[in-house]
Amino acid sequence: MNSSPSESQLFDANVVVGPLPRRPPGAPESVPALLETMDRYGLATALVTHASAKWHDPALGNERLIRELSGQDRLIPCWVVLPASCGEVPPEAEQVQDLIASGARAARLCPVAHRLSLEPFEVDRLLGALEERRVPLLLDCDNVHWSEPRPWRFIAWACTTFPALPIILLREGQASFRALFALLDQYTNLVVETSYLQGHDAINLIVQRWGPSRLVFGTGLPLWDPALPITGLTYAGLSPVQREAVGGGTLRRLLEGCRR
Amino acid sequence: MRMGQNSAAERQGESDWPAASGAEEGLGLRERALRGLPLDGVLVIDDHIHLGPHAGFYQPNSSAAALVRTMDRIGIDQACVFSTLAVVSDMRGGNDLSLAAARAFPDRLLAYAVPDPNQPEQVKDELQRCLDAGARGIKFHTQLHGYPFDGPRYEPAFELADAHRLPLISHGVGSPETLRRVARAYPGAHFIVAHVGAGGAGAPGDALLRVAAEEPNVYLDVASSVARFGAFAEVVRVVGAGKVLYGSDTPWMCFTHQIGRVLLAPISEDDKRRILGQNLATLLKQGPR
Repeated sequence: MNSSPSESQLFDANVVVGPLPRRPPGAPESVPALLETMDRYGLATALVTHASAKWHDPALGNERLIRELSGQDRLIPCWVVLPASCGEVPPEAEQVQDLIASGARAARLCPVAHRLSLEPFEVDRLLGALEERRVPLLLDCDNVHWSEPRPWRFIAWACTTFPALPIILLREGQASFRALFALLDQYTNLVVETSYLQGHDAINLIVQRWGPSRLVFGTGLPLWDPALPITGLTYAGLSPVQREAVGGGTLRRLLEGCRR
Repeated sequence: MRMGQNSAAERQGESDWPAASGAEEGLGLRERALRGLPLDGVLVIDDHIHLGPHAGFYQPNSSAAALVRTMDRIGIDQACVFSTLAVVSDMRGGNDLSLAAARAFPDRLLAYAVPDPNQPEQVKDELQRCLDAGARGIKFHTQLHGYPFDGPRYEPAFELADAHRLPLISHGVGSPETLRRVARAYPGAHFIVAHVGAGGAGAPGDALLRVAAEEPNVYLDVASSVARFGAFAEVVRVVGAGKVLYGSDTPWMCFTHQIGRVLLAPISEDDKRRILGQNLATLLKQGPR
């Protein structure tokens, strides 16, 4: 059943490890269980956030992430970040410095889980610090269904104000193309993760129109079934070069852009 | 090669997906899915696709020709089609689109007739017109039409499905006990519950699973944008692979994502093949040709 990791180049941009609220039965929780699941689905590498950082305490959870991922090279750490206004995390520039020093190469912002307003007065210093070090920002709105609203005004503001900051929309669905396509046209720093991108031929369409640098493959493990985004990519009708880029090349390039 | 399918050379000309070499027929479905190889040699019938645009949100490439191109790429033999126009606002005009698509791709697209219960005086004649023109099943959209599954305006549809042993797929079936009562009242009809076979719906969904497991003429369609980890395999375990039908809801969603739910599921190869097409083929053989 398992495939050798070396057979696959898929790099999953959207994975969480650790104790998760409402974790589906059988979904992986520990690092070994996650690696076993990744093998089963032919996933070579993953960008991983710790559930404790998102759902319990970002500082403690990020520390736990680095500890649990230590010693293996298939899981790349992604910290959860917060505005520093309450003092629960270090000031923004220091927070981003710590992120990079820990070996993490991306940041996850969780405006729904953390009740963020996303107003400039709240997040501008954080996004500015991330931009300065070119740390890709994953925007995690905890969306379940395509009918839910998105913070489009914030996304447009962030792309405009921080043009050197790669902003990756997680689990973007098929029902917002009128807004999404307008933003893809205007902001080259906007990237979409594919786990929920289920419009007919949408992956192919986006690649043909904007190139494979605007999409990164992701699954949403362990909450979501990785099978759908995998075949969403393998049957997308992309050239091998395009498929490799969406499947991992684009994400690797973004992570390598971090200024250490 | 499928009837009506483009040759591998033609397919290569319009895109760059892997060519069908014949060797993939020896590979398991999981391996083919991971490599993006066409499902040649496997009967695949999508029980749930739409057709045409939807003003509510942009749905790319929604023409019949574009839908069949994607089916070719994956290796989907046939799909049951009901135009979006029919389920939203124009019963007759929408059914005409579905019938025209089936005429244009007679080996690939199977038209289903959509009754609009908001035009009760026309439902019976419209369904008969569609059956006479080659429709192979019936589709309800109780949510968009704003009408209950067991309301009297749907009775002509139930009677036709019962008499002709048609598949009847419905988005919305009322309560589990409503579904059970209707299924028992029309034992010749094959009731397919849309969007429930993917699981993860909580208590109401679980009760529907029990109805599907217990009633011989109730089946579950797997099309769902939401796919919780492990939920689909749990549905198959509870209701049995013989009661589950692959469907995608393309172009509201996409064949490419939805078929992965089956191809990569931790279930047996035989169960995958039943869900992908064998189950529905058995039902379709009982209806009009």
